[in-house]
Amino acid sequence: MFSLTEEQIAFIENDIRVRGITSPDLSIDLLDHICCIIENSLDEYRNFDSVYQETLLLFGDKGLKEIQDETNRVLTFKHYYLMNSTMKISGYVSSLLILFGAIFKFQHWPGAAPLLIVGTFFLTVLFLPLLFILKFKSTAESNRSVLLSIIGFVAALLICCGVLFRVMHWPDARLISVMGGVLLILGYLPVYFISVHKNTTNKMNATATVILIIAGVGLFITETGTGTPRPVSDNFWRGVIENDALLNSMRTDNATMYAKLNSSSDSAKKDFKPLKASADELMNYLDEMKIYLTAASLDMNEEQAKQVKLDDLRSEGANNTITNLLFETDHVQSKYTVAKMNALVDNFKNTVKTIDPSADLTLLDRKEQMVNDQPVTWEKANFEWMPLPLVVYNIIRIELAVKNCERNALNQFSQK
Amino acid sequence: MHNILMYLCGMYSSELIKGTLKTIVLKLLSETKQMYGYEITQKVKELTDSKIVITEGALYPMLHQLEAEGIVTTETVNIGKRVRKYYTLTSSGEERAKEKIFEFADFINTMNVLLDLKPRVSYV
Repeated sequence: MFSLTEEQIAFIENDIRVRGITSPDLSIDLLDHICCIIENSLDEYRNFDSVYQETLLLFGDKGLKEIQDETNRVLTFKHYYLMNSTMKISGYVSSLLILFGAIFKFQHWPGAAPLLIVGTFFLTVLFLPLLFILKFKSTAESNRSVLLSIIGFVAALLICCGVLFRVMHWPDARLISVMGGVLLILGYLPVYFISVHKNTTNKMNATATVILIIAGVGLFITETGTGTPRPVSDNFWRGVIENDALLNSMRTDNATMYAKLNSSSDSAKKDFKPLKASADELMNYLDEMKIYLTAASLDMNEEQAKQVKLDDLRSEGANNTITNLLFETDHVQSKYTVAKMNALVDNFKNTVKTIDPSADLTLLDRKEQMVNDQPVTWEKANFEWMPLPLVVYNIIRIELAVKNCERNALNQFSQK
Repeated sequence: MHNILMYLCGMYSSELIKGTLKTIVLKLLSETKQMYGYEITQKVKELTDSKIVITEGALYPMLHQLEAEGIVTTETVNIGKRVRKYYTLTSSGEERAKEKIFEFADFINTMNVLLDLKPRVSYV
């Protein structure tokens, strides 16, 4: 076996470098490897140059540089297993958390919010980035697939956050979802379509994917844009809003009447204090009850619930949280119940009766009602298994009746 | 029969070899204390009658990956005017080698059953 000279080795070492091998570690391997091949191929009939050129041919068309590129790819990928398993675990964990969060949310059990938030956090911070990094590392040869991965990641992130924001009743949920959807359709799809267009075998898949994404995003945006379940009709809901406005005007009117009585010189007209105290106590209770039920039903605190407009409640469905709170069923302790409300209403009625024994209080009667041809107690007919908008509306109706009776009683005073 | 022989004698498809390279290298390293790259390619060629030829483009990226994963360690030795890098299995590498070999043996058994290879070979 021939041995290469020092000059020949130096020549190969330099030539490898010229051919693009910059990694010293790989350079050692390749130099020794090429030297071994040449030493085993050299004989007295062949010279070094021709054998060296033949040896280089063994390394294929793209030559030595490709070995370095492949090595770099493999090395940047050395955490592949860790990333892959982290991706899988975070995927499982986030989907489980989100699934349980959804079940908790539907059942209005406590803890839905942290489950959903942590689940979405795992999904967007661990799973999605890893998915896109691994996906583009395994397929990416072109800049286009890197771009595709980044756009896809951002769009998915926006959509996930949009859904989370919507479920949590945080602001700008709709804006975030729509931005994600628009990015998916206007950004991801064109790049995706172009990149697979050349590959004929994938055309069918690509078309199906494009259709699915457009249809999915379209439905999603429509859904977020309209807010789906509408248990109450437009006409009915207009009545609810008008009644609420009427209630506010009655509050102002009665307050004005109290102010007039207060400024009156006639001391008999100032005996309205028990009436005002009883009416205010009941009205405060009913106002707070609406906020309390809204907060419990929408999983928010009472400060947030105060900001919720009546019109925003329209699409909320029925749930057992409200029923459990109002009737203290299922071992629930509640600050505001139908029973306590009734006690305060009775107290108010008694107060009015002492002022005006002939007062008409039928609006505050709690008569049995017919539901599906069955007699049902007033409490059940108005408050059991009712969706939040109807519960709130029924409280508004009671408030209207209270204000009406209060006004009649006030008229009695002013006529004295 | 001629076709079958040709297939067996010729180079296997790269798809087939791709998944087995690591197992082959780990097995060789577990048998021989330390080896350098060229030695590995020659050993495989010799053992398989040139039916399996490991290319440099596949071998070195994989050896560097194994080193990064802590499955092999390297030691450099001066050979005249150049340096030779020897690869040795670490203790976790030996475990990995056993796992890989066991996995592959199991795979072959499964493929035997799946492809019904034994009767066909005996028939030929």
